[in-house]
Amino acid sequence: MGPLTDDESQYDTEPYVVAVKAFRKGGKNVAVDVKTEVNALAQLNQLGEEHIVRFITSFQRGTQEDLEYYVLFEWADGGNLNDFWHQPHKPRRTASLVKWVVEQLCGLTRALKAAHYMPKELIHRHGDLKPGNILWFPNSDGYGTLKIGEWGEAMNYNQLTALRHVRYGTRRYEPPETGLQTFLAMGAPQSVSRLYDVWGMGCIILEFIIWLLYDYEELCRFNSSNQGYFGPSDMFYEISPERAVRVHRVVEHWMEHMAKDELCRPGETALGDLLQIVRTGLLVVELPEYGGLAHAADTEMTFTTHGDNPLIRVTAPDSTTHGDNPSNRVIAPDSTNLEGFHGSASKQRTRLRADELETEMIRLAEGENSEHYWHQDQEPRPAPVDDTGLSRRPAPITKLYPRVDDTIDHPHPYSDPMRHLTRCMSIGCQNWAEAGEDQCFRCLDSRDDP
Amino acid sequence: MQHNITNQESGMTTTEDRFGPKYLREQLNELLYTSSTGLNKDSQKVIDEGLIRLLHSKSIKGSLGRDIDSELVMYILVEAPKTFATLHLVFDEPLSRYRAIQSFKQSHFGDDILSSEPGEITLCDSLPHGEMCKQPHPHHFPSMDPWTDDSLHLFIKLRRKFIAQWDEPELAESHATQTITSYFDEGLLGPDPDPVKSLWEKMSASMVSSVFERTETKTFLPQDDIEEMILYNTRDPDSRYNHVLQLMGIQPCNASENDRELADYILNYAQKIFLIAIWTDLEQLQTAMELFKHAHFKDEDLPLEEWSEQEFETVLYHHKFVRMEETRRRHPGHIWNARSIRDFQSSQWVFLAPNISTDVQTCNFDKACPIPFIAKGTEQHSGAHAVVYKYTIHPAHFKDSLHQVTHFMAHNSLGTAD
Repeated sequence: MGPLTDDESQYDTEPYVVAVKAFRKGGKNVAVDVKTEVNALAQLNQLGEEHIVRFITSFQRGTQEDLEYYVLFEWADGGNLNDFWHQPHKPRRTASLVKWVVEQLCGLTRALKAAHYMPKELIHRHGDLKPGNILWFPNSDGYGTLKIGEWGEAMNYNQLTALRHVRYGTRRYEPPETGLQTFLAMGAPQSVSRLYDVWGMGCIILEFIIWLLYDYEELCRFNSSNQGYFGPSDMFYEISPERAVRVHRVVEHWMEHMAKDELCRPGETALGDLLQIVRTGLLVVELPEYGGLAHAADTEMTFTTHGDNPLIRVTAPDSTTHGDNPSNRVIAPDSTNLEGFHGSASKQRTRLRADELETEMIRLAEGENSEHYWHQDQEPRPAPVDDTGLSRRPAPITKLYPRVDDTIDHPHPYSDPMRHLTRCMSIGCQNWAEAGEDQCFRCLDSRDDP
Repeated sequence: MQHNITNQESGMTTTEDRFGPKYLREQLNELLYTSSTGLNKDSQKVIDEGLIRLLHSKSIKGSLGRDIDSELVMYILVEAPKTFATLHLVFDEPLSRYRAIQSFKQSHFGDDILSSEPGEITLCDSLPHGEMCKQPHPHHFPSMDPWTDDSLHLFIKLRRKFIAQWDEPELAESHATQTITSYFDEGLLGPDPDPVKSLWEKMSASMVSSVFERTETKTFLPQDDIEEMILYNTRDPDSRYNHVLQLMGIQPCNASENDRELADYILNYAQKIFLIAIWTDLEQLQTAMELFKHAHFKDEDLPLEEWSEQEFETVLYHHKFVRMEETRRRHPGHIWNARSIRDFQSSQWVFLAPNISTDVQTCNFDKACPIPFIAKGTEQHSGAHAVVYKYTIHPAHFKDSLHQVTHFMAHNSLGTAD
């Protein structure tokens, strides 16, 4: 939140400095929303979690007809996680820094689990986890403490549709479920899942790994690359016009590249194990059966289907089987490999719940004591370069997520020009751009014909 | 003294007196308000830099209302900038400041002595050059114009606004308060000739601006000043009684049982009411307080409900203050009328800045209530539903039970549990 200076003495605790959140006037249900938020914040306070930003108090002023609402929190002197990553002098990648990062991620996960599984079966989802909402409380004798803040921004807005429209700022860290909502029939019931937060944690941890392994500039480069398999996508996932969902090409590319680095080997280094958790348990499109929870009503998005065909299809995130041929990464709508989004026959990995993630994180934090595990006295291989073959594709499609009229099915996939183009791009066909649409059709036809 | 400033480029002469007698005092007050960030270590730096910026020969001459020699200017700039600045919080008159700074220069008083223990700063019956004095202390404060018990008292207190805080601010404050009050106890300063005026000046000097976005023009008297400085809560009960009696014009030695009961009521139930009455220059202070006591009107009944002008014009006789006077006096209207009630209801908020407490989930504050935020950060963050600001709460108005902050004065929180 605050600008950083070189003077570290500013980080001494100033208990009288607070963050005052002033609610905008004119909202429909501001009074109810604030009350809901304050009650939730007070409950979160009672958890006594070190890694949750502490709520101080709230007040309202004015007359009943014209009330103003304010909520007070402890002030994060360092700003947020982006500010931590963007320090003027990046801390050296030492064993103590890596241990601190793991310890903080462990603490954040513990806090998230505590909120997800409150006493008396209360549930608090954050709904908008991202680096900007992880606040940094520096201290003068260490790296400080990271805490989850801004619980209020999304917690009142249980309707996905609302969430999509009221969000202010980036949607980069939202999970695939949100993108898929576009394809749902109007009026279908939806709810925000706790598993939303786990995806967000996956994004945060992955960015932390990139920052640790390389630096802030490489992290920025990662965040500004958005050319996916199906076209540009700003999220950590992408959806094809055929509604195939998968982890974003760039994300997969970076994770694969880093996993091959000696500094990032699973089982050998802390960063490697951390990356493994992200790949196999967090940035996973597939959700556990019933959200992996006893209380199914809590977590599930309810997906409507059209006829016998599932609206939503999911591709495997198991990138280890993928070669460099992009065509391997696309699963055609007619493919027999397809599973329904919640297909019970799925053998794919599913996303971890917060409590499972905490177990993994504790195992990582406490499991290995060798110095080499925490620090390797060498530099990483260069960061991934952009895949020029993919980046030379035709101009980005602007209508990546058309609202599908589910009552219309084109008789043949290629009679829909948008699908032609998208499909052509997704398999890396160069003919479309060079020889025109006809050539492209021939190419596609010849590939798909038995 | 007016200084004509010539604009040489345009050839026009303006009568605007930029560096007039009020200039430095106003600028210094503003500097103190903007830098008063509680325990922020940076505030001292801000003050020091502000003094360097504000003090120069033009502003010094303007403040003293006369031309002075460069030697005195150099003395102020080099030896005694903070001493000079403190004088502006004590004396309104340029002549008083001039006399004080002249005697300081002669007796080699400077910022080093200003920063020393209060024991060094004492009033002396001798002449400025010390011919008549046989005491071993320096002679910076001769018992002559402008120094009186009141002005010295103020000077001792207010110097701390400019000098570096002691290592243990609380200890330093406590020590200074005790030393000051011991002057009274030991009769060193003699009886205060006008205790009401002194108290009014102390309150005036202790006012703090609320920088809250919606109440920026409002000032308030911090709770710790109310408790510690004005009512001398660190002193023994007898001294507090005596002080309250003296404020009502009653000599403690002549006080009746009723007078003592009234002082007791004020100290236990009506401290703020008493201060509001003094702040608004209410007529017949003692009688007014007796009326409050008889009506059982206490601090906890504040704030007084705000009446509109129309109500004053049409149904004044229904007002509880007017009625409380009517039932007790043959010739009512001397104390409570539209003007004095209006003063009371508009001034009361100065004394009613609420406490911010982690023990209360939601408070309701009146729009006129000053929110005790004393510093505001420049940064702000916008979200879809809210904007986040950085504020510093006045330490005396913040109870953080989780952080075990001890500065909180637990009296009379206006916050009501939701």
